[in-house]
Amino acid sequence: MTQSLPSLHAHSPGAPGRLPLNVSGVSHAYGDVRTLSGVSLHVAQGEVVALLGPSGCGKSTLLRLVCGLEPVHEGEIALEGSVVSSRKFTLPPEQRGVGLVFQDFALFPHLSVLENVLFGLETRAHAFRWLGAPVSKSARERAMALLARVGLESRAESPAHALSGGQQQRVALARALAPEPRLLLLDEPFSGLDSALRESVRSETLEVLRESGCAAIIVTHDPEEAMAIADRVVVLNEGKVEHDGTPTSLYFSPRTAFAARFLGALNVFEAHLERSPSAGDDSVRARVGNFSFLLDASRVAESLGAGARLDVIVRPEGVLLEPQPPEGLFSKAPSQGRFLAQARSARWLGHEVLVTLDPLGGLSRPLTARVAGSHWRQLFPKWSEGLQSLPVPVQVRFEPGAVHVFASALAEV
Amino acid sequence: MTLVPVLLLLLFLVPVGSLFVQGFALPDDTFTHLWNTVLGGYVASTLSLVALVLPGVLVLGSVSAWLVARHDFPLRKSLSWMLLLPFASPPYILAYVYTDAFQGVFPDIRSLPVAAALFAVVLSPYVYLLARATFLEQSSRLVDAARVLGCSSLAAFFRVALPLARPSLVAGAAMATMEVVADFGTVEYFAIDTMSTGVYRTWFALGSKAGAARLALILLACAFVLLGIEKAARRRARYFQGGHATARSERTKLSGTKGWLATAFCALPVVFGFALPTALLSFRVATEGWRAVDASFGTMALRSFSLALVAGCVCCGAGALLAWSSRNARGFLARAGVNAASLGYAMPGAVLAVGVLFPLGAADALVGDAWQAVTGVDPGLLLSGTAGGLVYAYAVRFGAIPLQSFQAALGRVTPSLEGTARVLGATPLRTFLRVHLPLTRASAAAALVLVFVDVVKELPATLLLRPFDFDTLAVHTYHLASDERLTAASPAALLIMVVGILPVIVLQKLSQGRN
Repeated sequence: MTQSLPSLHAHSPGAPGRLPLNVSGVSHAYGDVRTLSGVSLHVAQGEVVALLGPSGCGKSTLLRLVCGLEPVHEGEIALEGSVVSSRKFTLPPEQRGVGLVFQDFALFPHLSVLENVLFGLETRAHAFRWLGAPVSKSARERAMALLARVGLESRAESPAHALSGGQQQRVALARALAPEPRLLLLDEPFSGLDSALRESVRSETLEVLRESGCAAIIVTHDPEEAMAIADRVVVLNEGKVEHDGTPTSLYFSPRTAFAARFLGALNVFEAHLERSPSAGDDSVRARVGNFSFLLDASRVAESLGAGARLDVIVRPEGVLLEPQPPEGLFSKAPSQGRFLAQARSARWLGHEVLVTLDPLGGLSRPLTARVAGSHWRQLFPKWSEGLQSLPVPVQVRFEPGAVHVFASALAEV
Repeated sequence: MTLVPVLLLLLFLVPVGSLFVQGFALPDDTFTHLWNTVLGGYVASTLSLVALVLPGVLVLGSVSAWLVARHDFPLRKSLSWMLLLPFASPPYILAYVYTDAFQGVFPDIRSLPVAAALFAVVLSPYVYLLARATFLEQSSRLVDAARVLGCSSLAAFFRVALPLARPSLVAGAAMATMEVVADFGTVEYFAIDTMSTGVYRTWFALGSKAGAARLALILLACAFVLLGIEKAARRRARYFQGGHATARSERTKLSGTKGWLATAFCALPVVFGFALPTALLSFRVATEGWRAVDASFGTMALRSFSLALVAGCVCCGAGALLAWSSRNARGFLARAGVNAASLGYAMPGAVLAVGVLFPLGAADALVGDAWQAVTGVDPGLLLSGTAGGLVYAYAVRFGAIPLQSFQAALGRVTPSLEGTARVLGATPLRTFLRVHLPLTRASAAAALVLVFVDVVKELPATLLLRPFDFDTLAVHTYHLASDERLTAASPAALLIMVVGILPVIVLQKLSQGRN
């Protein structure tokens, strides 16, 4: 489904001259409030980039800067190689050829659906732009074709304000695409829709985008949405880029603790690095309390020495439960990388079970584990009959691939 | 509860009814005579005046509103509220002041185009106020969307902002036109024969009540048409609202010459509509006019203000009553009561005066005869030519102001608020005192101020209906100015202008609160 693109890593942008968008070192502030600090990113030809972050992190501001609705304070923005925004100069929005779909769609209520879509075509078609010239036949055909593509050609003559939310979103998309922009920006385009509608509208929108081959930035605060639709995800927090890479890279090797936590990781605690050569393999371990667990060596920065403080983030799906070994065979000290915990509560989510564990081995906070339903039923066959009482002791270990460690930045966690 | 709106409805409709009665009850040749001679001229003058004022009011009001709402330029914040100051100036005072000051330089200053220019400057706040509110509330995203789609800032104004503001512009223009049609003092001073002066002339010079009544009815019909346009436009305006609020007020900065041009344009109505006349009047007062301030001036001013205060309280009381009773009563009659009050506002003062005199006289005759039959004493005039009659006329004319104000305020007392109070044990009276009254207090005060000042400025109805030897500030100014004694009139005129600043403050506070 996705086009095969050269996956451009943040460090090797390739030839900047051909990039639909290149943002370098951009900073911005509203009065005293800093909105963006030294943000750099790019979008390649035909690529869909998700701009992900919490409210107030600066994502919408970045869109406004790229559109030219606000000037940059520092840094540069270039579209297809030519600089459009810099400290000294801001090209007006009407000359940039960038499309924008607003969060609230911003359809012109005094115009019909078709007139809305034609709006961008009219302004370019005629010399006397401000009069809103009569529309050429080809422009009309293009507008109707776009409306047909989003399934709304039957509503072409309706007034724009009479449409439902989902329909308005589709008109907004058609309107933005009509003038064939070189870059399309979408500001939380699906957040105004109810969840039942969101999935279908999302996939349809993505299809239309792919077909048009237009490079796009989609701003969202939903990590799942970002991972589902984007070729690349850029995580923003308080005006700074926290991560820039494929969805897979965000999931498996987030660059900062914030990026990792933003995906919804729930288990956060501090630990100390403990390089212990055990059994000859150069395994890297971390220790918290009297519990030590294995880490993926590739994830630990070389510079960290033994005893270094770490922020550890373990994804709930990486907290693995095993049945408690029979009493006698269980050694006093927890086996390598395993520890005992009490499963205090278990919520059945359908295909998954959300388990809260009170750890008995050195961790001060409870853990959350996501266990596949089938595995849980294996562990506790009497569960589905309601005959399993909680709390019940289990053995817990961490899957190294689901553990992210970061050098402790005290304020972060 | 439906009884109250019905009663009030009848009271509002009595003047209109009496016009019909006066106009058609007795045969009268005067009207035919008028029709053949001057009526065409009256209509033509009125129409020409309106035709000249409309573009002026629209351009001044909408462009300044657009600049103030969406741009940043020198002195913008002050100009934002100062553009309301022309509300303080009654057009007839401007006519007196400018004629007096400039007729040496422009001997033909008393002409229709100059009158139109005066009206345009003084009435532009009607359009400005509504347009500014619309432009501020309008989602700036719509203009952003237009610009991203390829419109320059100017093109975005014409293709998006202006069409969306059109209903508000129409409403403001309709109100301005109503004032032009209703005006008496200015056009009379400038010797322009409009319908309004025609009514007076027919009444006094020709001595034909019937002819005057018929003319008044034509004038009334025009006013009602304008009112209909205004209401329809306001309804349409609601369609176009409900956009998401502007996230940050994103203003386009106008720097250098562009900025100062904007400042100059916005300053035009302020200077010519308020600052310059006030300065000229103050100069007059300071040099010679202060001599006219004596005990009788003080008495007259006091009388003026007391009358305005009483009228204000009566209006507010009636308005509150009507708003309260129609709130709970459903159905045609309740709404009709409300609409009748709005129609009262559209009635030109001259029409109202003619319409009110007849029923007042009839009532007097009725009561007087009955009294005489019972007591044998002739009580004389009880209503006509008394302050009571005048207050009645004011109530009909200005009752719509407190009515709308109370309706809006009571609208904010939601059924759930009321219900909560009742469930918590409050009787209806207690609910009224503890819930409704505090919430409507601000609106009541605002309405009182607005009616007060409107009564102080009112001229045509007051001229006809006032008691003998009872001059208000406005009438006093009118008489002296007509005799070319502006110096003697200047203190009264200046006082009216100063008092007129009060509603500007109220309006500014109200619109700030809404934002």
